[in-house]
Amino acid sequence: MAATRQKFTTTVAMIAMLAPAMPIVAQDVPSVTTEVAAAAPLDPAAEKARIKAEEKAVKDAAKVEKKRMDTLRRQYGEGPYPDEIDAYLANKPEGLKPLYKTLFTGGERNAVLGYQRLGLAAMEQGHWDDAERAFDGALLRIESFYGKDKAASMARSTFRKEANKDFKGEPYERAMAFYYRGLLYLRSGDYDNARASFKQAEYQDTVSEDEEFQGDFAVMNYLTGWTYHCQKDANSASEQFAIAMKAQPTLLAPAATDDMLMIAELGRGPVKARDGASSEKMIFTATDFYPENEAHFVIPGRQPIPALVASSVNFQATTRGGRAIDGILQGKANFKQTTGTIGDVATQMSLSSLQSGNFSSGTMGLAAAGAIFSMFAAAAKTEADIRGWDGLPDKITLATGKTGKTSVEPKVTFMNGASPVREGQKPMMVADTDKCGVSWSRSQDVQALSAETPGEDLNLVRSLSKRKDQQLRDKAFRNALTAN
Amino acid sequence: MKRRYIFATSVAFAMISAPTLAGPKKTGTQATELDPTGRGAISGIGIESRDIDAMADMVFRDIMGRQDIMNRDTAPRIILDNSEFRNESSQRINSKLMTDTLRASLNRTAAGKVRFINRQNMARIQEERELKRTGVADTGTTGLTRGVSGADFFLAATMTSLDSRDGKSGIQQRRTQIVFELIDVETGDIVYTSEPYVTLRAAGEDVIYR
Repeated sequence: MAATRQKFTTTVAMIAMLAPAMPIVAQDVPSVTTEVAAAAPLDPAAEKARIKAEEKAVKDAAKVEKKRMDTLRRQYGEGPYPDEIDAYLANKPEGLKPLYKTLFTGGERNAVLGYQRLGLAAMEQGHWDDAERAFDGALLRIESFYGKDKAASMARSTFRKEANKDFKGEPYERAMAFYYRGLLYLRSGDYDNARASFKQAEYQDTVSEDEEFQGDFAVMNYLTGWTYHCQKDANSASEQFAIAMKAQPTLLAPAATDDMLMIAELGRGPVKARDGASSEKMIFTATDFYPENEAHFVIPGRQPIPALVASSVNFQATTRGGRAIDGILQGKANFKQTTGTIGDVATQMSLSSLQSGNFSSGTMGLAAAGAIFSMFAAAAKTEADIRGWDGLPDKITLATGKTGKTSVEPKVTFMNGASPVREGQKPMMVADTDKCGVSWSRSQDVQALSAETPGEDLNLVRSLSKRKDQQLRDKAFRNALTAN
Repeated sequence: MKRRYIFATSVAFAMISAPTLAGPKKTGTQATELDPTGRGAISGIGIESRDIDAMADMVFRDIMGRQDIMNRDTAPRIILDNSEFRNESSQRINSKLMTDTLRASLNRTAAGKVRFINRQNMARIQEERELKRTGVADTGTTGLTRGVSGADFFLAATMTSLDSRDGKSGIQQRRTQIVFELIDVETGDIVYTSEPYVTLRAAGEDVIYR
């Protein structure tokens, strides 16, 4: 036993002597050096003082942190606090930081919209992982069934705005989220999940009130067919191409040997606005003029291939028909109008009575009733929710071609009739998997758009930000964002 | 008199402080351990966690019960990965969830009566074979073979779905169906077809989201 202890002491002593001369070796044996330090005799009083000082430092740091948090809570409630935002944005791509910030600060209520806008911008800038994560975040919520939650109840309430609800988007906005996710799956050669995405996109169109406009989102059927085409399932492919061509007769099914799908998106998509006496209607206004109305693709060494219009997002948005929420908003507007009219009449009558010197209790009661009805009318919140996904295109055009399995980059030219608007543009996305290639271009990118949530009701945001339950919900959302 | 005063004060205090003592309203759910074969905390209209286990268990029992496959003199070789899993449904899913679960169950229980062939890591396998044959790496403990193992069967699967929606009530419904088949790679014979694993689920959204 004594011999073993002597050997150990000798070894430790040798290592301790060698350690300064052999820093690399010392790094490799940290446990031994630790043992050496632990083995040194300690002054109990000094050790006690050290522990006490450490405890005090921890307590002081906790106090400072508590004070800092109290100050932040007074100013920002449950957050987000400026340092939280900075930390979240620190490792994000520079070009996406504004949209990441909007997502982070927008909370769960705007999560779908924040993810959609971020996903599209990420695709344009070639940040594929960011784009995939963003659309997955949006689709997770779009695919969820929103039951009788508090936000839904508030949105239905006569005295609350529709915009209280979580944004889930109109069917065309939901469809486009599936569409872009599907393109990302095509890029990575995952045709099964690409197909599932396009099918879901097409399914969103089945909510149209008018049967004529149900299932007419031809580009989704075409892309579903393309996934079968790439998997060499000719029967299923031709079935889907036939459905697409029935809805959009100008489309052409790809030749059996085509191995490149080229997509060009033109113009700007729908813009939401309010209409009606009490702003209770959500309508779509005309988008800004854009000159490009056609496109063609050029595969190097081959003749230009004209892009065929497969679908119009504006058409999809405007042919949906009535929404279920429209009835509720109309009811709110009717309530506002009726109570307002009663209030005005009662007030007028009471004023007339007062002017004629009638100060009876009946007159006073009438005045009070008028005031109460007017208050109800003023309190009714009828405004339609017009938050919307800006940056969507209007027309989705496409063509297919044969590249011969070499890595090629088809160029796109945007045209106004026969005149080129922009020539030989490089695609924003081009991928050549072992089976099929895909290229994707847009004539109008999202760079010029504000990062702020489009159509947001800032008064409502201020009011919601004071609610403790909303603050905690958003905090949970931010925690989930930072954890991923 | 004094006791009555104290009682009244206590009641008043309790009434005033009750909301405070009750604490803030619950707004979150702590991480919870759930049974993966159970219903789960969140359910929708598509394939869920419990379906993966139930379906894998169904196919596993079928194949283990097949004497013509499990009781051969020479253990048959099967390719069981997601390369032949075809998702034609409208649900995005990582098909490895199903094929990996099934392969794990079969490989652990079959105890050598069936061999499973890996084709998804062929590049890595080829690389290692090359290292051995060029002398960079020593031969393993089992020597060299002329080629990698050939397969007798592969397991294929197709997942399909049928979606429908009631425009008035907003209820959406989805039938999802998964069928597995064991295919003889030499003859093309389908030697086994599973009973279709079918789910039919429906759910409706609040009117403001329709």
